[in-house]
Amino acid sequence: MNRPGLHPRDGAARADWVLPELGFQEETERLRAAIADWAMREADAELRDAIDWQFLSGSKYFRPLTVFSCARAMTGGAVPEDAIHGAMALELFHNMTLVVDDILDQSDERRGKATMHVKFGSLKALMTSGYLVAECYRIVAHDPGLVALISELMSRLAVAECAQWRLRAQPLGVEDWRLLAQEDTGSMFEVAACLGDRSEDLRRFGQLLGILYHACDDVSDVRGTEELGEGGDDDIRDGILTLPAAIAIRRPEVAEMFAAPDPGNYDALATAFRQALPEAEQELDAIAASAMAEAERFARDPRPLHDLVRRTRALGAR
Amino acid sequence: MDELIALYLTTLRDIIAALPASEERLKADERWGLADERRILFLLAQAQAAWLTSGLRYWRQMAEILATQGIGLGDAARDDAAWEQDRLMRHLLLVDKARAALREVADLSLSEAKALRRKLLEIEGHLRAAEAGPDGAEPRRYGKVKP
Repeated sequence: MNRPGLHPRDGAARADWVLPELGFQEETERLRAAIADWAMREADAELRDAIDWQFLSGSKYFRPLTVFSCARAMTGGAVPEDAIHGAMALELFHNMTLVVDDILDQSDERRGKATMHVKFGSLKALMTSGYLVAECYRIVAHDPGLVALISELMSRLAVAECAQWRLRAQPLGVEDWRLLAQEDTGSMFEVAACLGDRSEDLRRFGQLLGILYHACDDVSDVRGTEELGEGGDDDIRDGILTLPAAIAIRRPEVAEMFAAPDPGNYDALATAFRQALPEAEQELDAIAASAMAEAERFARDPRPLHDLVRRTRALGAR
Repeated sequence: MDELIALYLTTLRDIIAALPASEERLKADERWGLADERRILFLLAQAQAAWLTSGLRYWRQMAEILATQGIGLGDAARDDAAWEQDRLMRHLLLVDKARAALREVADLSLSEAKALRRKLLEIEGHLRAAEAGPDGAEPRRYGKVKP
């Protein structure tokens, strides 16, 4: 069930280099202030400790940064208040997915500290995740277009998570991986792009960025096993179709191991996935190039989007 | 080929950039009553440049797709001794690459059509505005009254 952005090592460590290079410090501060204000004034006191725990540290705000970049690319100027508002709703929604994922993955840590269910228990974590969705809808209730976007996201994520789990340990191809990535991670970035640019012209750009983000996480997980001697093991154990896995399992003997993973063949699978990295890198380059072209085609000023793609691509190169 | 297309695109962009200069001439023509016609021709020239640019961009990106995906497809389909040992792997690779190529072409076609449509509708909007009388009166309707 691990998704890009949901892995423990994906948190604070990357925030310090993603944020400054993309700019938007002022917008990010406005977003932080809006979330803090909501947590203090509007969130129910019963859940405030859990909400504070989740929100008041460590987020790298990658999805809000996508909203801001898309807004600036289309207006060529300041990020409007609507986009900050949309980014806040999306951040609440995203954190709901983190809480639920941590429960399902039985993760103990996120962003260098205990996960919400470890700190406050499963009941409170589950109820808080529901509360976050409700608050997300309340925040966007004035705009039926935003409500439709959040509903679309909720539906697609639910279907994608179930599909990904159902299709585990099956010998599928790169295009199948891509469909899963598109629905699982791409959908949230699609919505982020639409929150920044309500014309929907950047929808496909958002989708490509999300797929790239997902792919880079897949690749860096495998590279992590190479460099650190750990990481990516959960995906191997669960038979999750990552990009390197989709390439590696074209070989029948690897597909056989992938379909029936056991601790005895984890090392062999990790080795096969590492051997697939050069082709996976080519795939990352192709996705990044498509995203760049899409930005060029629709944005008034594509530079913020190009920066975003470059920084995302760099995730897979580290 | 790429250089030729790039040169052509640059030239087109220069032409498009130069077009607004003719707006000055439009002002001079206003007193002769020729401004509207010139404006319409100017917009049509813009539309022509837009679909020409779009077409060139489309085929250039199509060539890129064929270059990248086509190589993959070629590799996957090649019939040599080494591949004979792994027929299943070759088959899977071929299916994967073929699916990728078709998806890329489909996505590109949709995106480029969407971008061109947006540009042409923008120009059409200007033309619609040009229907208004010189004093900004509502465009006159000649259509048949609904039965």
